[in-house]
Amino acid sequence: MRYLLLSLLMFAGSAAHAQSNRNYGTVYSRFGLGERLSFSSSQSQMMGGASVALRSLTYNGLDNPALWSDMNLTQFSVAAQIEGLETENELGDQARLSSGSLAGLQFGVPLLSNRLGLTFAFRPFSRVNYLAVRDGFVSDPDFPSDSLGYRVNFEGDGGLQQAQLGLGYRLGPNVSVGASVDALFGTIDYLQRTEFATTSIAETRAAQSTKFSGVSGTLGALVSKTGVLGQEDAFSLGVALSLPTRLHAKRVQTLGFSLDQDTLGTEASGDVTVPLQVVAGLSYLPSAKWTLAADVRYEPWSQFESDFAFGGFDPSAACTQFCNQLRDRLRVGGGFQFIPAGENRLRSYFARTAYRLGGYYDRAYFDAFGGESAGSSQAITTLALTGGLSLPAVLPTARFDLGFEVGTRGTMESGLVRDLFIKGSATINFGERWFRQRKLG
Amino acid sequence: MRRLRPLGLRLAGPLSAAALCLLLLAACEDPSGVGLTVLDPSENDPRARSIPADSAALAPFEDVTGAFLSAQGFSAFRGLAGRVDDPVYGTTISFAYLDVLAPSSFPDGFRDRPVEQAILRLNRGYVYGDTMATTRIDVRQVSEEWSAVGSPADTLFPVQDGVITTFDVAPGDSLIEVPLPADWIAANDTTLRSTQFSTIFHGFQLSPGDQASAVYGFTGGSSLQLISQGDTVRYGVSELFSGIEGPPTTPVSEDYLLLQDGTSRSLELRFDLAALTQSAINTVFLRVTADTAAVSMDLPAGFVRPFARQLALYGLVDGQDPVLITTATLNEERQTFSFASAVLTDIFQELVLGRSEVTGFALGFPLAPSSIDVIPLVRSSDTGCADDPAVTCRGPRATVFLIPSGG
Repeated sequence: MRYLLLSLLMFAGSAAHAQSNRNYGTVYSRFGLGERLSFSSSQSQMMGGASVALRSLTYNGLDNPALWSDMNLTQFSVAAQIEGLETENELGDQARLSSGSLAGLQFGVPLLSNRLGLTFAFRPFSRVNYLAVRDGFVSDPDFPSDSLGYRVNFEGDGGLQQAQLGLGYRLGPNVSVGASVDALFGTIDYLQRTEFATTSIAETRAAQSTKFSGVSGTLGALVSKTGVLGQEDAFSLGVALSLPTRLHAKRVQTLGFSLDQDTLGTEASGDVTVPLQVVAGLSYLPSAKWTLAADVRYEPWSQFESDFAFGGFDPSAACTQFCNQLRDRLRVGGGFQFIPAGENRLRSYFARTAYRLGGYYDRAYFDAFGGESAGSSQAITTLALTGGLSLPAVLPTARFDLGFEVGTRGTMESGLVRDLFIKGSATINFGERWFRQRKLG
Repeated sequence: MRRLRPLGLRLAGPLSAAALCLLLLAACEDPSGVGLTVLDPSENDPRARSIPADSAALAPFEDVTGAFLSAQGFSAFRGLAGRVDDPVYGTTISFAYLDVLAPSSFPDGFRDRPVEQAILRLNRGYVYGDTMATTRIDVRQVSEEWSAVGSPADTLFPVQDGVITTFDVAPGDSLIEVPLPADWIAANDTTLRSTQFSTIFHGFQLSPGDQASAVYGFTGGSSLQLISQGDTVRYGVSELFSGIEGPPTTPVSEDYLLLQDGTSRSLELRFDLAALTQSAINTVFLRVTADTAAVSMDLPAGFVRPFARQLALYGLVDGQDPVLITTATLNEERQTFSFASAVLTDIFQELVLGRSEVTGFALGFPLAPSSIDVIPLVRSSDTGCADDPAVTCRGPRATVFLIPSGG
């Protein structure tokens, strides 16, 4: 176990290292409120993101509060993720970036074992972390032969975080429901950082920073049935609905040198409305060895409203072209899990290891426009393969999960770029009997 | 029989390798311009603009022409004495004041014997004017206590009646020895040997005599040498001041701003930066162009006119003394003074944002080593130089590297 912990520490170190490297990712995170993230559990992550009908005693899926009624142990999990990204355009130019982040954190308590569960969770909702640079020279008008080299860094930073508190309750043997209160908050910064070839000229930063906060709710339901196709099988159907969220936002422009930032003008306040999210899915367990699951997620971002401009969205009257490039998001994902040992805890370590594989298709909630020569905007889709291992620990209620995700996003046509990404994740899932009175005699 | 390793140990290798790969992945950063078309930041590159000064004029400015022994570089500091008639800059008359300090130790019995000789040893370190003609300097004794620091440059301190002695300065002299007359020595013998010398003796004034065609500078390395029965004692200069009477009116030239050190005038500059609204300022060069060749063409033979090689830039704040921002040295090839500093950039940024306390700038001269150097600065720029890259601005200007607003 200590070697596993050592490995986790190394992983956390690499995630922290990526953080210290300023955490850069896809340029498509410039659009809307950033790259949408929806970590539910490490199990779901490795199975293509299928989550709302994925029942488990070890994992506490965050997408559907109804799943929390399954808890019989106090559960804790924390997941870290690291991503490497290679971006390429049609000219063959490439950029390599990396980032590391907390993927999710959750703490669940069974108030009534296998009947009523309480969960608190924290996870990223969206992430803005793009970086593109432009190098150039600017001539001194007094002495045109003197030119000064510069690099302009166009950076995005921040995103929205989601804090979730809710209950899942089993109405009967086959039906569970759940609800959670979801707080969305965070900051999105669009930054232009200009550096010069000489250190005598200070780096300047012109930034536009927007802070958000708002509250919403998620409702979930789960229907399960056993013995559908065989005696040991189980079938579940889940659905979750997150209500539209009205975020109060404040935007401020800042300007300055290095870390010394001056505020320009006055702070502007406004509202931003995040559209509802609907996720429906199913899972099927033919036996204790196999789990199959699939989900469909729909988010009508065409109904996005905002008093502020974001990438691909400009509500101002002055905007005449490409003012709203936000579209409805559709994500379809699925995967399977195989545990050779099934429920037999006496089998070998690798037989008790869970092997997972999945994939997903994600049609992003925006169309991207590749410059004036490109003509029209293009839909941005992501195709990815997911997978990983779930390693048993000494404690039968704990698991150490290692996941991967390899995929491609976007297109090199029409002046756009294609991302090739690889992600690695590490998650500790831990279950323990807490708050239970021991019965003696 | 093969002994199985603990399971955690078996997994540690591959897991550590996976973590190491991810660590290397995280270390791989190579950003580029890929994706710029998606961001479309077309208007946000740095640009450079020359902004001619909205106003540029000579204005009163307090000069500092004195220093104490404790000042840095005092040995090179000068007291200026003489008179110069410059065909372009007009007439400048200067009076040098120097006080001396008794040494901390004397030869045995020196204070008990009368002084036999007193010699002013003057190290010459500066000249401005006609060096072919003789310049005569009168030596007088200052009558009251005076202070070299804090007095305006045009101050003249009171002196005793009568000239102690007079001496001529020849062009090649670097050290001038001026013997003081026996009657003056006799009259001041007790004072010169007194332990209270510093408080009862106030120094000398060197002023232009009846023939003066140049101003000479005498440095802080000068001294008063006293000789008594073979023993020599030097009283070093402890305080220097130049009282300067510049031309009564500002010298006028159609093409040039005629700036002269020591004459209590600076070049005041103000800029209209409204066109840069909310731009991010990367750096600023405040520049003035000199034209030393043009004003030197008709000088008489042997006339030395020292041009300033260094200027100082001050910030003007209402109700406060000017604040030194930075200095600039003349680029001989480009004949340009180019002021640049982080503070200057910061001031321009604040001016652009409309919240700087600095309302304008003053170009003057560094405090040391005191001179009446001149510098002719090109007065104005050609029309359109701010907007047309083909036209170079030559008048006082700010060359601003900036990110336009909206970035």
